[in-house]
Amino acid sequence: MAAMFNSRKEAMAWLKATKERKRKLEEESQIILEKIHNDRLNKTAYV
Amino acid sequence: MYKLNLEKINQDSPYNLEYLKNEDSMVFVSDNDVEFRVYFDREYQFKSVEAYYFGISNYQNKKTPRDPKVAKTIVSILTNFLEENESCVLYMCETGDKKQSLRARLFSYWFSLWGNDEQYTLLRNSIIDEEGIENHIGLIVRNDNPLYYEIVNEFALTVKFFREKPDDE
Repeated sequence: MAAMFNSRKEAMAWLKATKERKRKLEEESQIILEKIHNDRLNKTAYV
Repeated sequence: MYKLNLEKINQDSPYNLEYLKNEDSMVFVSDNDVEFRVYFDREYQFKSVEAYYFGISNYQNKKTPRDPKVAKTIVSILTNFLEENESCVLYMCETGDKKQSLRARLFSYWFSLWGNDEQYTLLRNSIIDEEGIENHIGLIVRNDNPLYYEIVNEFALTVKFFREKPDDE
């Protein structure tokens, strides 16, 4: 039966890497959402 | 690469979703003027099928008063993803503010409201990292996925590794 890892050590390394990846995606999201937020504010200002 | 039917999602979803330019994620704005981004990120380590992490971000992590329309929108995206792809979805709740348990319970509740038990399985578990932080992870899979048992077993085996004592290595 397949498992994602072969040892607890590998599992811990994966968890650390996954959390770091998630943190970077969240940072990326905030940049994207800030732009969308500002575009919406600017649109509202000119209506 | 995964597929999504945005037209179909928007038929079911209370909030209108739009793709970002490169179509790798979607955004919507709630009635409380909070911008949300929803994305799927491939987990290459998962072996049984193509697996994707599901993520939700809201601008400046603004608190959103109870908004069932956000929940319904999220579940509409997830169910469409599982209809369009023979994949499974994984998620891991944010731990930065120590509210991961609350998030995990809330997400299960959302899915119980709009995700059909006869069609989908949601499994959740918690794993402790090296810093002693509890991380809530989950798996969502269609019950009629041809590799259902392999997927569920792989998830269970994965969690099992975190239950082992460090001395066992």
